Amino acid sequence: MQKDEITKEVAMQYAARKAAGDEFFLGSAIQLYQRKEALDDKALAHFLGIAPELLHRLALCRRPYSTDPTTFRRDISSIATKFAIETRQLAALLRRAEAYEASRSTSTYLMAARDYDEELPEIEKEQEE
Amino acid sequence: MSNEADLELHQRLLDGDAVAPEEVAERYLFSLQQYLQSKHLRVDKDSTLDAAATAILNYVKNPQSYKPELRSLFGFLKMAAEGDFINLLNRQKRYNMRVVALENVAVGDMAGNINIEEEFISREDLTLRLKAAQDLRSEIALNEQDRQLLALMQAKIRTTADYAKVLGISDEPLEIQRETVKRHKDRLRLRQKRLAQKEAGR
Repeated sequence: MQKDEITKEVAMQYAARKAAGDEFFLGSAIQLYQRKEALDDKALAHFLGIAPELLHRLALCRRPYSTDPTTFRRDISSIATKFAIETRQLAALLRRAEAYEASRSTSTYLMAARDYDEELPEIEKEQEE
Repeated sequence: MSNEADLELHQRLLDGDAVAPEEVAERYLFSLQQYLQSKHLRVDKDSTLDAAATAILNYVKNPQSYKPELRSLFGFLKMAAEGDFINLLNRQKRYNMRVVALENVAVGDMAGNINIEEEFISREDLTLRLKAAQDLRSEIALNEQDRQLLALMQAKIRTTADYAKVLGISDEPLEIQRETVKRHKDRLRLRQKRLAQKEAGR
């Protein structure tokens, strides 16, 4: 990632990319939603009703989880107010991301089980040797 | 920024305010990177940015680690970023040492080394070695990207940035670059070993 000059904007973008790998941050939900829905930054910003330049700042917010409806509503409201986003759109993105995560953990479990079944004969053979 | 404003922001983090993490980054990330850069002029900017970002993200996730009675928030972040920076440099150093060790085995002339990789490459004649490397390159490299990666490995290039460029991940955070580069290098080394086993069997 060699950049000639690091500006404040570049630093914030970098932190946002780093935060996207951490479920504490809203960036993790944004990244997942973006990938699953195959949206580029422009399309996602349009969906949320904000300028694309604001996406990385949004990503650095704490991620609201719907498991606690009270804090979920409160957090969505404060994020939406700060960035002038449609509350409904942000809530939809977060719920969809949670749904993707739930289906991912189920499929990961199934894939792991399938891999194990496929590898089992080889593992048993190695153990015999 | 005043101490009162720092304390207010810190309290909001403790209270779980959803937008407070972004405000901390907005206020301190760039200053922190600039501070590290000014203190470590000879180190690349990416490392200072990574350390500054790590310090900020860690703090906003665990705000209770900051004790306002001991120092200012920026003072705390500077200290944390310095720590992250040193950890980062140590990791790089350890990684480079490991790579050097592996590459020495791969091309070294250590008698009695039973490493299969060494067994394959330790042909006495240099011409044979070069030919072996060429054979290896053509046999193992399935695509242009692998060929370029292998060329870097054989040229003993150790900087992540060079590999990241070939892999097209230069814009990813450093730790992702390192993990990805390591995965690809491990994969190629594994194939080298397999090929060596195949060679030994011929």
